[in-house]
Amino acid sequence: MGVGKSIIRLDSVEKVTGKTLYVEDIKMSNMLYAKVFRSPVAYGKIKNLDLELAKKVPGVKGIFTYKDVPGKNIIHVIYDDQIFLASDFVKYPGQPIAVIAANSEEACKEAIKKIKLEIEELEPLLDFEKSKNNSIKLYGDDNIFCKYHIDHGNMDIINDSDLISISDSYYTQHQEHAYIEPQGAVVYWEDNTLTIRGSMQAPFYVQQAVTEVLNMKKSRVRVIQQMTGGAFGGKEDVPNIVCSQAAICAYHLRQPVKIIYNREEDMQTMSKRHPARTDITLWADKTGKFVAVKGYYLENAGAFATLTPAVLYRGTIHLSGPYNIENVDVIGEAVATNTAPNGAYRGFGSPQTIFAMESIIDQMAEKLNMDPADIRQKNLLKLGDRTCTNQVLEDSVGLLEAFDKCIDESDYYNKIKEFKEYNNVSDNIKKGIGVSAVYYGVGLGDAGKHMSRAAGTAKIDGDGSVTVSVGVVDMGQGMRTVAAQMAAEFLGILEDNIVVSQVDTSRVLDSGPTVASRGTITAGWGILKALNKIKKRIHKFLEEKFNEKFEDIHYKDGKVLFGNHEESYFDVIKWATDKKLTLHAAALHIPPECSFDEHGQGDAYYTYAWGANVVETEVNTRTGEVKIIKATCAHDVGKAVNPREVKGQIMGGSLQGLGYGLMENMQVSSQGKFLTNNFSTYTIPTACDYPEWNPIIVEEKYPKGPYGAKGFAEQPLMGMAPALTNSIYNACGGRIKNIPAIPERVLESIRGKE
Amino acid sequence: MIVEFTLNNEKVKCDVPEHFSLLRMIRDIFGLTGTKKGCDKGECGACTVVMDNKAVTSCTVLAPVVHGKEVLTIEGISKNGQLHIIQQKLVEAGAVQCGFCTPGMVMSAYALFIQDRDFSRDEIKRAISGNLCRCTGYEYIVNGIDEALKTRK
Repeated sequence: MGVGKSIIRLDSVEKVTGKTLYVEDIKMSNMLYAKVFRSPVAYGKIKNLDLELAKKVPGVKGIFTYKDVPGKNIIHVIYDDQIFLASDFVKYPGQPIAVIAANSEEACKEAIKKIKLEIEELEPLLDFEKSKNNSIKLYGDDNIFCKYHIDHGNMDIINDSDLISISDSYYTQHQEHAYIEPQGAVVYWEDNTLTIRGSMQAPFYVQQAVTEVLNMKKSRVRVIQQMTGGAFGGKEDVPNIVCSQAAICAYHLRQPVKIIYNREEDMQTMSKRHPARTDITLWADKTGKFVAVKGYYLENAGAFATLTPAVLYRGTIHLSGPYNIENVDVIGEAVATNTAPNGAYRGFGSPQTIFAMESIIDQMAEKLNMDPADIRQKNLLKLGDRTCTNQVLEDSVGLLEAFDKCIDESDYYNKIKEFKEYNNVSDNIKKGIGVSAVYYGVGLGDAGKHMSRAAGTAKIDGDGSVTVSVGVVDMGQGMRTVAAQMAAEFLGILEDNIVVSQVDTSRVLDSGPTVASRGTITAGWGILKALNKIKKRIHKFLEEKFNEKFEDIHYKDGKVLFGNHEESYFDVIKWATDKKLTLHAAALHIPPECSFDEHGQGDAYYTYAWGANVVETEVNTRTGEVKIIKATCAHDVGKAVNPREVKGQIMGGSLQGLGYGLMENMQVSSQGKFLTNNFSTYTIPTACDYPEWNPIIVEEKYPKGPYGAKGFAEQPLMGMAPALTNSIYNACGGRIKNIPAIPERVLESIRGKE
Repeated sequence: MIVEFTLNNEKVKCDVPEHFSLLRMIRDIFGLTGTKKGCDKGECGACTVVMDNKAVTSCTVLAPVVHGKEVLTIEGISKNGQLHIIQQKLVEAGAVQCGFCTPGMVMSAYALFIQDRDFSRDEIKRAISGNLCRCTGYEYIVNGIDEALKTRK
């Protein structure tokens, strides 16, 4: 029991028997189905929308457009630019225009066919590299949604002629979350309250969005997070849209409404990782010490800003990597195009820039005739160093330990030699090994500081069982199990005494979104602080009961220990209950403040996670096919509350990163549509594609985190693509500058070398 | 049309539109929601059930085809409230994260379990390669299935 133990996940028995109810499994009497009528074009002006024939389809109960929106026709995320239901212009293929509610899905589909839309098609802007100041104006005068600049140290140093420099540009594509459960929600009225059950990461976002769209009182919009079948960022802000679509139907029709996206619709219209170009120049001295880095990061945001400002913030800050570089000049810009809005995806804007930096480091190593691991090792951030935002690293820097363990356990140096010998005699199969190092700013940082809070409640019943709640969700990552472990540790009892409530906005307190690897730390802060209030009351109660003063009271193995007393926890709770002691509490924790000034300087995040990856590959130089053989991934997580689940996050996240680097190839048509909108064309790694894993946990405790824990679950994805492409280079000498490393590109890169 | 078949060891009969898939039939008509719909095209494997001792994606089997067949879903493999050994081993292995692929994964493993032979890890991987999981990186799933299959000896 307790923290540090690999207990079995508390939700796993229900899940493995198929008893867990996901949104699609909910059925209600009089329930209607909703489907969305969408723009067929990337960019156009709506001339006329004729719903008459569609409304006559048997079973159709209502069709709702912007005219039926009682509140703002906007889905608020960061800016108020995202239209809920298009009124005049459409800006991406699949943009919602109307929502149909009917008593069957078939009737909805029939009605969609009968809607007559007259639209004047406009020339779309699809090439994000041409978006800035384009004559097609999608946002403001210049199509730039947002911009960040990090100006650290003094770049005049690059004029020093003794420095070695290298420049290059790197491209990354869309990445689809590929959660196996598609987007969905059920909305119904209960007790005069519009109640929403949905698959989501951020119930409090949904509550706010629906409140604004329907112009209701916030307390009359109740959002319950249904068990969520994977999210990875893809259910951060977009459930605002999905839930609002079902909500407008239920609002007007006063009947339960279910909306479930089909896979093609989901992949065609929902957010993805931003495609990007990163230009980078790295300067080093002759010993391989990094002296300066200059970067330009251009993100394709799609049609609306949604989460882009926050995504760009993270990507810009993470560009220069976990290295001690005194002079950094990085600009990040995000521009508009007529494609579906891009948003949050595990890593949140950073895998793109990390791919660039970790690639150029290998190119620099080659130029200096150094080993890629050695050059990194020489430059890694240590305790007391400053990051590119001039933040002093005051605690919990487990980077060197993670890096060294990763190199040791992967047997990196021996393999470098061994593979070289192998490749000298092997004909077309070449073996390679590649390395990357990453850091991850934990939590929302300065860009999301207005939402940075942890609010928990706790209640102890007379039998000693405990109910706790906090406003972060379990979307499959295991948050509720980890929260129960921390509460159990704090009270010295077994987890089976603890219930962690499902997030329901009517009874659980807003703790911000479940994103930014902040689940564990937020849950710990909120719940432990609430439990501590109860503990203080019990302390006073025991002093009064025994008429003694007690310095400390310890809770351990079902016992409460104070002075010379050793009492059963359950007895103590019973005494306290009998005396009507208040055994419930709510608490709010505000995390350490973050900052980021106009020069991109400040405490960008309250703490950092650290990691290193080594990937081994086999490249077939005749076909360009790459097989991933082994991945060694070491991550400093502060404290692993549940080590087995931490390793589950490492392997799962790392495989998403390997898929991003190797095979996940989202194709966009000349009309802005995703051509690869299902799992037979957008291929993700299967059980036959994953490598031998060696997940390594490093625990450099974060003193301000619960039991020393910090967040990290995005980090496993972030550095895998460059570790993979560096490994490909090591195998065959082909440098991949545009991921995924599909066979065609691998062959091209080898030929480019010749 | 009327379809008669064996569902989780019980003879059943229902009137079902002939365009319904087996998936829709077991979810909408029989109310067995443990079988999940991830793509409705036979690409993700979340809807895997065992039909006549073989794993099939129930979304690609039309209801009339099921007539006279034996179908086993996730609801049909645990007996007397006890987890099937496959389920038990997957739970112990840490193979469950979001859980949406899990029922299909269990049924693909079950189709191996009922065969009278051993399976190597590579064979296990191939057998579940039609079951996509985005959470776990597969290792714990393969471990769990491997452990469960070993208990047959």
